[in-house]
Amino acid sequence: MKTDPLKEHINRAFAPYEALKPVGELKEELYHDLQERFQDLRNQGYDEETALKMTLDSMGEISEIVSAITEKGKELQQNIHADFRASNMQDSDLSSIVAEGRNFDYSNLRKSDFSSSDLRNGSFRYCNLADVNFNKANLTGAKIKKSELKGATFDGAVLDNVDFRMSNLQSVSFDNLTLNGVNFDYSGLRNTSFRNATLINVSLRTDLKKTVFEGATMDKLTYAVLKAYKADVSKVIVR
Amino acid sequence: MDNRISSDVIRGHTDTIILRLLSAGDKYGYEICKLVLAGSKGEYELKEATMYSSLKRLEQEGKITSYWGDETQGGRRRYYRITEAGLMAYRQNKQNWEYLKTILDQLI
Repeated sequence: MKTDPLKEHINRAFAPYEALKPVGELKEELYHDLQERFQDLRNQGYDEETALKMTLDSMGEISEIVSAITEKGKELQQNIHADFRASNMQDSDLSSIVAEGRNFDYSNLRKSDFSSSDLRNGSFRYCNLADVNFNKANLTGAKIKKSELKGATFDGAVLDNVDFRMSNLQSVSFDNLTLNGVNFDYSGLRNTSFRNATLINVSLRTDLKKTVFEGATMDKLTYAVLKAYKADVSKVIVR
Repeated sequence: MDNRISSDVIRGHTDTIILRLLSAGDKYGYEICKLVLAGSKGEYELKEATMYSSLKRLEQEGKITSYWGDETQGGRRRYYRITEAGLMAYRQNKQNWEYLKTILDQLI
């Protein structure tokens, strides 16, 4: 099928704002307008290429609309070029947002609510994520390196292949979760608990003396690493 | 004449221009753009982004409402309708403009 350049253009222009609710309907309206404008220009005798260019030029700056449709829009507009980088969004309600592949590096997100959000492949390097709610969030492939996560919660979160290297996860609970391919190397895991969790290909090359693995199930390799790093493995289950 | 300066001045009145068009009947986005271009005899092109930011703002302020049309062909259109508050705002803005015009006419 032939690609639709108008639709593509709209999708690209709105990509940074997808998380905002009213954007969907606005895109539909705008798409309809541009189609009609394009057809009018064609009827006036412009060739396809010129008509397309004129149509796209008529659109103007999308950020202008976004700041009008939502209170948050204004903040997002300012942060948009940095794609959330280095933003201060302390206490933000970001529950159920779709922010796949988004970059939050260097941001202060303390106490933010990311519950049930889609944060796959997101980047959270050098962030303050203390007391953040990641319950039921999908963090598959996310990079949460060198960040502060004290008090963060992950109940029911999907954490496949998450990179937690060099982050502080002190006292955080990963109880009952299935952790597949997660990397905890050099992270702070003092009093961090993995009670009844399932660990598959999890890398834990860090101090594990005060980490709780009671009732956790794991593969032999993970078990060997645990032992090497002095974890208490008296109550783990090896498969 | 410097087109850019004049279009900046016109842009500052987008809300009033849209309210005036809607006071004559419900309209959808592109229709408004077309009427502005025709009404200015082709001198001023209202960009979609400018128009929608104005429409969304006016809607939030309760000066207009909107609804989806029931077109069966070529996709749905969203129509905008002026409210009582919108009509009042239009009359007020128009009065302000008339006043401003007389002052500027005396000064320039």
